Amino acid sequence: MLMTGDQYIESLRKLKTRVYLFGEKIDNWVDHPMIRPSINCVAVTYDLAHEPQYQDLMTAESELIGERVNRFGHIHKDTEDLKKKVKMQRLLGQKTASCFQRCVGMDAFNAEFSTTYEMDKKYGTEYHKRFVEFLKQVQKEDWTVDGAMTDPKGDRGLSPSQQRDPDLFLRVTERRPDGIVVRGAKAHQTGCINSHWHLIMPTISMKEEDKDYAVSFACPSDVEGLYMIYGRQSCDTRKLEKGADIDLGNRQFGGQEALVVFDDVFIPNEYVFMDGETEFAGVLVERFAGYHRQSYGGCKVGVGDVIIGASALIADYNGVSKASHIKDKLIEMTHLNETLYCCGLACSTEGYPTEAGNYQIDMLLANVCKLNVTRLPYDIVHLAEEIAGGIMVTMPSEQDFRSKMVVGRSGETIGDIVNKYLAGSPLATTENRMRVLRFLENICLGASAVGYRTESLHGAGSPQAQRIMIARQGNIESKKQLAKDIAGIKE
Amino acid sequence: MFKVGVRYCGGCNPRYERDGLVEYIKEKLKQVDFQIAKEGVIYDALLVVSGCTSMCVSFEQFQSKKGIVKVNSEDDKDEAVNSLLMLMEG
Ligand SMILES: Cc1cc2nc3c(=O)[nH]c(=O)nc-3n(C[C@H](O)[C@H](O)[C@H](O)COP(=O)(O)OP(=O)(O)OC[C@H]3O[C@@H](n4cnc5c(N)ncnc54)[C@H](O)[C@@H]3O)c2cc1C
Repeated sequence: MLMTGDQYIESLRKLKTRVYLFGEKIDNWVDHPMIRPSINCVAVTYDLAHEPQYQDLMTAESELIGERVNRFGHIHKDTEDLKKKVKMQRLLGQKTASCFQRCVGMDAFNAEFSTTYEMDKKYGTEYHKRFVEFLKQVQKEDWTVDGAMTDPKGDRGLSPSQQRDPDLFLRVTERRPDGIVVRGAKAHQTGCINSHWHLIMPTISMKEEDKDYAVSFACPSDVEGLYMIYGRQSCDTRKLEKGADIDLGNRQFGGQEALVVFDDVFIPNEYVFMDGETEFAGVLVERFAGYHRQSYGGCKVGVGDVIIGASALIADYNGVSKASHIKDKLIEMTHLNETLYCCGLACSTEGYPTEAGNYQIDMLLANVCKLNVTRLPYDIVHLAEEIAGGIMVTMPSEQDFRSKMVVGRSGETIGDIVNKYLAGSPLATTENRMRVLRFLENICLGASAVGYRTESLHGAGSPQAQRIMIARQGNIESKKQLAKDIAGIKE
Repeated sequence: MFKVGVRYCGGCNPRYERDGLVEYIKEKLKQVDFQIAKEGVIYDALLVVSGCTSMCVSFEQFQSKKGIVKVNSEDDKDEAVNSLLMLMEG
């Protein structure tokens, strides 16, 4: 059953998810002004699946349940699916200008699908069967699932089992006949509170001594012992200001990250997909990261489209749109943005079938894609800020703009003064000029910069992780030979 | 003699030394006659060598009696040797 956005939001209310924010338990987190924009954002992934003009991208035919499902729960069955995934992500970036959070789950499903298959083949386990049953539930119920990989990691120079505090990587603390007990945490979890379930994976390759840390499983968000502590975002308390609108830059949508804590959580065997198979921890990490590095060639591009649009708008409103250097900057922004899209599509086009039958992206190209994503969005916001001008960060507040307090000699209110001195070209009202400036502020250095900048840098692994993958596949030796052949070097 | 047709991909962006890998396999299977695959010839087996995972190489036009072995990375070399040995025995 494909849920609508409203049905999705109502389904969250039925959960007993434990959420903490500013040192307090938040019971009605669904309507909390700091959390709700991120929920609205996920809701778009449901609503668009019902709109005929987006259905081809937003939905797919599931071979597992024989129904049309939301693409976020889909297993990619060919390179067309891989490309449509990227296109869907661009579309959603355009519609929300935020992180819509549902990709981590989708990327985790596809990584688990092939990895569990290969584990079963090697060890005679039944992880794949269990995982497929879980995925069928996900598809039928149209759940949002948090793909949870990153552990807090403590001392980065030490392996999981060498840490001073053994909980710094999530681990199995007890094995029972009917399941396992896990303790630890997952950090930076995108959309975790807005998810019905969590799909947990190890965060790095592991050795034999890290056996208890090589664990993968699924659990509901409101399972006994699990709670989440909300992650702050830059300028987040603006959302708490009474009647806030213009100053938010993006009132309706936003991203979400939180610390997910597992305080001795029992996981029944049917939801355990890896327990001690250290050899496969790295495989799962690599595959998930590969898909997620592809994802950024879609979602960030969609957000980039809105930034380019906002930059062109503010150029109009400032009366500089005819200046050749402004036109050139918009061309440059488009070039940078489409470069990311090219990478997302390229690694999809060159995808290949795994043993389990689902499609994996080309690893080299996906890592190149993500390494570009660690840089080009920074160039894009740099250009956006350059076009916008300094007023983007020095502008008086929305309350001042609306203030009726008389301050001028001729009876002008604060609002009149702001309206007068923030006016730009006659093409725009002061309010609209302020709106687009606040949008840019939000994405360049406010709450949405979490998703557009720092997530672009560290999400799906910090740049060095991509460099390592690129080094592994760069085949420098054969490139040396090419040079030798052309240069006439015979050795 | 067991005859294996070798089919290479175009090699636009190989992630490893394809020639080196084929040489390795030949070295391990000295009893096998490796030839560059030609249409119309019926081989005992086909060895398809792709430079990357995309496997864009076409090989449907070639014929083999016992089966096809595909490689797309350096890591596949020993498995390819084993697979060819199995085809020889089977
Ligand atoms: C907005 C956002 C959303 C995210 N969403 C998710 C999500 O939904 N699910 C999820 O699982 N994860 C998520 N992540 C986590 C992301 O994958 C991590 O941020 C990333 O893997 C880097 O880990 P870290 O943040 O702990 O940084 P660190 O590991 O502390 O890295 C900091 C720096 O130290 C370097 N470094 C670290 N360890 C070593 C070492 N051993 N040797 C040499 N150098 C080292 C790194 O290369 C980097 O430059 C998200 C991150 C962000 C910022």
